[in-house]
Amino acid sequence: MSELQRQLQLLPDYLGNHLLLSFTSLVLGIVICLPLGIIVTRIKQLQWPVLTLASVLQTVPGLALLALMVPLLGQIGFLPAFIALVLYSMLPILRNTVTGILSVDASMTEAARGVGMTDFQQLTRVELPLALPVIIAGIRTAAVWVVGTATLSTPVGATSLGNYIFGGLQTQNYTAVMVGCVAAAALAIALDQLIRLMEVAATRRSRTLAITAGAALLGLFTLGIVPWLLQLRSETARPAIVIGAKTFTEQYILAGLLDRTLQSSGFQTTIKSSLGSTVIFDALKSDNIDCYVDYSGTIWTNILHHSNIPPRTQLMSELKQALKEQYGILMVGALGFENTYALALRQSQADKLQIKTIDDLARHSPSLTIGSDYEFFSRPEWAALKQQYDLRFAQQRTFDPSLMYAAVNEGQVDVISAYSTDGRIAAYNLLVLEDPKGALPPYDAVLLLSPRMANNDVLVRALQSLSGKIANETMRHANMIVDVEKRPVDDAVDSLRTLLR
Amino acid sequence: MFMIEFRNVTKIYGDTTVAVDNLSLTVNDGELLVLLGESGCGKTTTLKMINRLIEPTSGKIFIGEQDTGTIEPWKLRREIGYVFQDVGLFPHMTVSENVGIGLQLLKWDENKIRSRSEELLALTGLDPVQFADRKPAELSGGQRQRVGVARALAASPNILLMDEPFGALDPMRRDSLQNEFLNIRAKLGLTVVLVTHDMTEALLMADRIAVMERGRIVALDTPQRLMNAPGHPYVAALLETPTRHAQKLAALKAKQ
Repeated sequence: MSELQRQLQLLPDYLGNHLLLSFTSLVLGIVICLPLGIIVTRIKQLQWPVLTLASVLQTVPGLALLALMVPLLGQIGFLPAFIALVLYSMLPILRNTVTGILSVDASMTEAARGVGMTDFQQLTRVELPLALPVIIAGIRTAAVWVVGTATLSTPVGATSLGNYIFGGLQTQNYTAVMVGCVAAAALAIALDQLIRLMEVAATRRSRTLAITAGAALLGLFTLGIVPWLLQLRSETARPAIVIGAKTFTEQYILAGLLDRTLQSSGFQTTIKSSLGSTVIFDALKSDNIDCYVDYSGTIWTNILHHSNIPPRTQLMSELKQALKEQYGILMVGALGFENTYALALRQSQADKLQIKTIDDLARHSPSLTIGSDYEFFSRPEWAALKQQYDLRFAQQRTFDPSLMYAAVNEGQVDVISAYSTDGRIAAYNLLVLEDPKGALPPYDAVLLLSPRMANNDVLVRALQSLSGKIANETMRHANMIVDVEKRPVDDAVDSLRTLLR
Repeated sequence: MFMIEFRNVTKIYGDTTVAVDNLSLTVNDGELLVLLGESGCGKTTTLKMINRLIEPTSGKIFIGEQDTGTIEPWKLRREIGYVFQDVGLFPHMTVSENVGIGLQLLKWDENKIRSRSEELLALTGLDPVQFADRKPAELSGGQRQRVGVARALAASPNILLMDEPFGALDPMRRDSLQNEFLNIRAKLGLTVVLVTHDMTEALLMADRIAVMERGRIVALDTPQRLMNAPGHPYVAALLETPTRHAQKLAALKAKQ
């Protein structure tokens, strides 16, 4: 089976969910904004505040708006994505409704009153029909925005065509990225053109054209959603265990490993991947997902907000206790490997500058550039490193984790905050610097279980079978299969499972 | 009784602009009264206060015995025909839908609306077969104004208000439409208030003319009596042009 075929098998699920999310958001957007727009044309004092609020919402970047909904609603998945998209669809619909109605000629509203229409009749028989082309144009803009922005709902746990793009970019599967982009673009174009037809129908006041366009829209929706519904029906039972994954290769592989391990123990499972790293812990503690792998140091500093770094065993036991007491989360155990943040640079440059430790690096830092992922520079670990070693880099640059290694390899940056298990460290011949002052905490990979599953003994036993089984070298090799050899995530999972036996 | 009576009606726009100044006037049942004056004299404001498109600042307007201020505006307007200065046909409705809109608001049966609007199109000189299903954009200015009159007459009102109804038409068409309208009006026995700035139109159509200047009526009389005894100098000035035209035309005729 070719990679393209493999990816296309996922299409019904992704497209169906994408359509459902976009359509429902758009419909609610219309249901809210049409009446709101009408009210605003009647109560002039509301016009400025309502339109300004909608504009402000619009200026919030789509990804941020989506991510903000997770803590606000306390859950991940369809609902936060839906609410964010509804908010995102509001401005064009609202603005065009208001403009459309207000630009109806004064002679028309006077004629409406003159023939004896009530205010409501004037609205429904004269103002709305005359404003309709403008209102539909607004809906059209909103539709294109919503379909595009819905691809960003993957990190908040809603399935969409964005799953192709986020997953594909992280694992450098460009077939997946392409399928996602083409599908999303085709959907946006189809919607745009069909709604444009509605607009033409409204302008020409052609009922036939309006019915045709409406039927085509309904057809598009049905066509997209039916294969997905059929697939859903064919699944025997609702998945019991939801496995989470953050947005990098190792996490996709580990989610695959958990998935297969649990399935072979007879559990129904499903994977929610590409979750934002702030989103995923919230999702676990509120039972939106049931298990995932996090790293001890990450939770210690970022969730529990500790600044001291106790010895490894002490940190682990304190961590286990705190998670249980504060969140009801069960730390099943450590997988055996550690994926630390580590500063790395090209071996050749390290040799030239005679750098072996972060202490050595500090002396050269004013003439060097550092690159990192989206979060490292805002994490407490970075603050601790900077302070303890007095690091002062000439420049800081932020990359997608998948591009960071290429950037240091090509000399666009001198130092990166690498992940110690990443296969590209060896592949690009990078030197990982020692941390003699112990500024960075240990980052043991630990398996976490949601409160609702914490007492499921069968599940805990199944997961404990993985404890201590994956060595640093094993994980690095699995990562390399995807990141360096460019093979599918499934191959890496296979390799891990062979080694585990 | 369809007498219209203004009692001390004043309309002030904003705080200071007096459009109509303490006006008292009676339009008799079955009469065609022309409100005549230059733009800004308050004639259109006066007209629009009758069906409450504009609300008076003070004073009262009666139709028969009833104070119009006590009737729901939309109910009042359904009883009174109105022909707009810029016609105001609804572009998204066909000609027959435009004519029948008032009847639709009165919840008439669809078939009855259709036959009534065809009857009115015929009355105003438009072939229903040819015009009923067209959109206003497909009509000439004169045809549109005929539809406007048909719409105003649809609900068989006893009172008709007309705001410069023939102003936008060329002289030939205007003359024929004026005459046709006078015939229709004689047939239906309507009380009509018509606003114009055209003295000739006023002289030819009115039973009585109310000449307005700065929100007040400066003369109110039949065309014949105004012609022969203008009284007020402003009225005399307004009469000068049509009189001179008539004399010149008569002179041309005599020379031959």
